[in-house]
Amino acid sequence: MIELRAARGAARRSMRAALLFAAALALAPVRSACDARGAPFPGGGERSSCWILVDMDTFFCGSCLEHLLAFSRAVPARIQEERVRGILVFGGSGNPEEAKRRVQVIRTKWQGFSRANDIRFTAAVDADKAFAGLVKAGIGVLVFDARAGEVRRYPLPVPRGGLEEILRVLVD
Amino acid sequence: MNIRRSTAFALFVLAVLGPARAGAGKVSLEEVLAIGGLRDAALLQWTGVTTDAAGNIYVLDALDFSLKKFGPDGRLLKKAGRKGQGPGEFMAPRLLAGSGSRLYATDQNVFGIYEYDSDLRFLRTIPCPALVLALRALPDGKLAAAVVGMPSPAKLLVMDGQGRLLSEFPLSDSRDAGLLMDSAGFDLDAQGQFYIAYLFRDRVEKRTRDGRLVWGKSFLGRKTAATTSVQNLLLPKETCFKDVAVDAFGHVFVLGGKLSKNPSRDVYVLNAEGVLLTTFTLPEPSHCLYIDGRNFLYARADEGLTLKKYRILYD
Repeated sequence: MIELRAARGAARRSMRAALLFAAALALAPVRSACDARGAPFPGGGERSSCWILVDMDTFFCGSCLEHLLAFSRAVPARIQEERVRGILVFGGSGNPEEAKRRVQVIRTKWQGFSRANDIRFTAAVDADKAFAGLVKAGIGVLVFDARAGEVRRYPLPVPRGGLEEILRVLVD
Repeated sequence: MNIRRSTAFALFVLAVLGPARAGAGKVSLEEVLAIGGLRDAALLQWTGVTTDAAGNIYVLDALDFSLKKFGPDGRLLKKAGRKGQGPGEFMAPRLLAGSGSRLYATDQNVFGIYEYDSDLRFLRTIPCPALVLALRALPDGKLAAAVVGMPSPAKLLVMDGQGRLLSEFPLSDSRDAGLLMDSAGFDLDAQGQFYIAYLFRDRVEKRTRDGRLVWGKSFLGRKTAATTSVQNLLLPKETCFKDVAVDAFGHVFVLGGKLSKNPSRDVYVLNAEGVLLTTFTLPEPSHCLYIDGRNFLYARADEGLTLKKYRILYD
């Protein structure tokens, strides 16, 4: 698992951190998704990606697990491995020792859970809580649409038609 | 055979010599075994636990949808189950009880109790008329289950091994308890009397096997938990008590919930008359308490990654 250290700061900076991280995760060489006038490129090498933001404090309710597993079952294994990343978000006190312990708890749980349920995407613990403002409860999906030059956000379970949209973007 | 003899001897020592040393003026714990751990994926989010006479430990795990058997030394011996709704599969494994060579497990949203043998072979689903909140296997092969009551009050059922209802009584005397407010955990003493701890009410009760109230007590100084509105339904959001377990000497161990001073860690030790003898605090928060036939206490650590077994020390 990758440990997130890049994006420090307050929740208001979270989206910026998210965009930077998306760029780092893209597997193909990354370039700006927009031209100098701000219009999106019509495609040309960027590869879209998808992040699943998982609130690990509420993750273990039955329905949250079910939604996440349903999503991972719907996304082909190769797409999961290449285009999808998980961000494991948690709350709690500011005690550094406690936070360190929780990072380890979350890491071990995720490893076992993903292995047992054949989840193929890798996940990183949001150790610095950079994404805390983006996921209040449950699970969210951020889709980095390289072709359109947009980031789109979906809840889990994905509303009707949303899964097809996400897959279309990721397969493009 | 040796294990049986040593178990019988241990129980004899507890029964004959124990009470003199078990006044419960003060209770503390000595850790004797830890299964799982921060860097060990043997357990991921354990939910239910039970043991057998040989000291094997059986655990349900909600994150890999499994039933696991560990030896007395904590070594994983066998694992069964996977996600699904077929025989031997789980969607959300929760409760576990054992008696003799049989294990009984529940899946959170399933009307029934799964029966296994001690080699984790799935045998059958015992029918149950409602969702199970708490479960105990009785020495005579019967099952006792606290079941959800919506809209009717929650009940405590005693069934035979085929699921046939033998007796039942409502869990709450309150006519306006509210949705889920009569949810409860329970345990039985050697005489088959019930000790009931309500999840969302500051109330612990003792009832006879036919449901007659012997006593009811409050220990938290608050009558009810705060509520929250979910889709126009008023639901409790704070737990008063999480579980109850009776030790070999008839002491009643009640695990406090969110309203305790140390949430999910404070344990109230009562005698059979409901008198508070002492309290102690678990090292880490737990969702349940289990005391086995040799008087060891089991509780959660590391947010479900670890199961800890403790020797109970009485001063």
